[in-house]
Amino acid sequence: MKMMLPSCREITERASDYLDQNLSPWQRAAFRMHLLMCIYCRRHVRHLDLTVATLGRIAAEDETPQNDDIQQIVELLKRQQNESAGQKGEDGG
Amino acid sequence: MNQQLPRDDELIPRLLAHDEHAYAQLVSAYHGLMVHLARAIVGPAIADEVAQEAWLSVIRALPRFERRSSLKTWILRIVSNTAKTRLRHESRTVNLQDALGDQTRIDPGQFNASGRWASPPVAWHADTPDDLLASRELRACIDASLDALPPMQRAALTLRDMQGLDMESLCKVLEVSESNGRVLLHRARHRVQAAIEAFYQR
Ligand SMILES: [Zn+2]
Repeated sequence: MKMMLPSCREITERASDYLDQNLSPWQRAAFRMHLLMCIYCRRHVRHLDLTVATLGRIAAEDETPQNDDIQQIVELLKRQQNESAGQKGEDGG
Repeated sequence: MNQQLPRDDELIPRLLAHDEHAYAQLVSAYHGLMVHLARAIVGPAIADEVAQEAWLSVIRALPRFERRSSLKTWILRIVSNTAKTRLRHESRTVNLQDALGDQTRIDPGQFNASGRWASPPVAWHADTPDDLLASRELRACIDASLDALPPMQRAALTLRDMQGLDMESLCKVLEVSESNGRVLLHRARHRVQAAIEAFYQR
């Protein structure tokens, strides 16, 4: 039986699922077979992998919240909670 | 402020008891992520506001949290819904079909009739994220490509590739099917990759 290998176009369409390990074993085997024979698709997949890693790096340098921001939100939540507790108190009294 | 967050089943009772330290731990752990997701959907101008609104909803709804997902996933879903509602109020759309039907795929001219590369990818002269990010100009191209994504694609990319959520959580947060979640991610990644490719082709 001859296995139908995906075309370069199909490789680009499946590359994201390949990196996420979302291909079936058969699809994965055919995908890898194509990569063995095709330098450009190897390059494409490597580039996609690098793109994903770079996005992760960009996120890591992104803001971690400042203590001031955290404190502000906590105060907001406490205020809301006091208000709702206050309302209950009034209902009861 | 950056101690490790306790497990959900330890944390939730303390939150329900209005333990201020537990609030601070929760906010410290998730606020940055919430703002990031809000920004992906509504843009930078009102992201903080949306995150605040979401926090109020989180604390209000917590007694009814049924723990069918992690607390983190549940919180992010509230952020996502708050952000989508906000967009609708401003008569902007977060149309899933727009994001899925987005035909800006890889340029079809890149392949010949038999599906082989007609204009193959060029070498990037970069092996690591640091190599890529060393160029400010390239960084600007990447940022521009992120800004140009449809909101749902940007949200998928933010959650999975920038914040490391698994696929199942991503789909729960954005309320999309698994296959739609994958399509969103695939399209978004390719658009960013295409932007980097265009930079090296110049
Ligand atoms: Zn190929």
